[in-house]
Amino acid sequence: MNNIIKSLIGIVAIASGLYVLFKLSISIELAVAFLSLTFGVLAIIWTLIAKYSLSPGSMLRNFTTNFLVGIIFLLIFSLTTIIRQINSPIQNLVFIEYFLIAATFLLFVIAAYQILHIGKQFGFEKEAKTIKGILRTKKRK
Amino acid sequence: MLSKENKKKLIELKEYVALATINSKYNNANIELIKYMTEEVKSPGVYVTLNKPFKTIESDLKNSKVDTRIIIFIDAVTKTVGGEIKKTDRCLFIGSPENLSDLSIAMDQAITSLKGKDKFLFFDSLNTLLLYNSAETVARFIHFLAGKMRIWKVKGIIISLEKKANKELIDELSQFCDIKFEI
Repeated sequence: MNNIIKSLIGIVAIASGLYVLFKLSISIELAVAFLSLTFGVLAIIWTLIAKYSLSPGSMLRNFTTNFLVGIIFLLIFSLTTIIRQINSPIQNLVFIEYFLIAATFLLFVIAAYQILHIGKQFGFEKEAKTIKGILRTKKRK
Repeated sequence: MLSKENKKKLIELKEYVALATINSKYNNANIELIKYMTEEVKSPGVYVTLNKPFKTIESDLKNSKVDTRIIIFIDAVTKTVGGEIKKTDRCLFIGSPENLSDLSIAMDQAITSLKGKDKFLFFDSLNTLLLYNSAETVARFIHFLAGKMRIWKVKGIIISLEKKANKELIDELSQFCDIKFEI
């Protein structure tokens, strides 16, 4: 029951937040940009919690670090988009945006390579298949 | 030696979390338990070693005619180059017993990769974990591990060497386990 009330409050809070966001924003694009920004902030908070829950030096922690920097770059990119949309005097942001998006993809490529490495190191499917074969042969005997 | 009473206890339960305290002849007791799992129960499993290097364990088990081919080894004692994780076709080297996150992932992946109902997880040992981590961290880790063992539905054996200094912790940890026996 307690959880249902919490969920309801959460839904109401999100709905009112979205209503205010779309009501106050000059344009829909800007509202969507602000919404993306909130998702980015939430992603950073969750990644930070995950990072500090993992053992220092562990492979997964290194992966979360790269992933975290990638999200931060993406968040800054979203910020520059907002600045452009609100007709700010700082308009010459195209090159900064190019740099940010390129850096984000580069960081995500590194993170993807790390997760590939983690998969290779921690995957035991090949060994499990060999064991299954040995057990089958043993049973036949 | 694994007593008849202990064997009966282990046979009666299909899945369990057992805390085995070893008083003497640590090596023989370990081999005895693994032999029981692989020969009598005939189940494959995962051997997590924090105490002795994989090479030593493998050679000890082979000398006692244990089929090591049906065991996946996770070695957290052998130092790897740069302290990085390294995998060979027989064993996964974690590099350090402090690295509990990687150790947990390795155990999870190794156990879940083994198909079939009967499988075991042998964790050797609690005492080495205590050398590298605080008693509180070890207690939390064992609590987590015992919970995971139930989810994985394995025969889980956690080894602890009998020492007065660890008595309090062992008593605390035995709450999370289904069986506690001495060898």
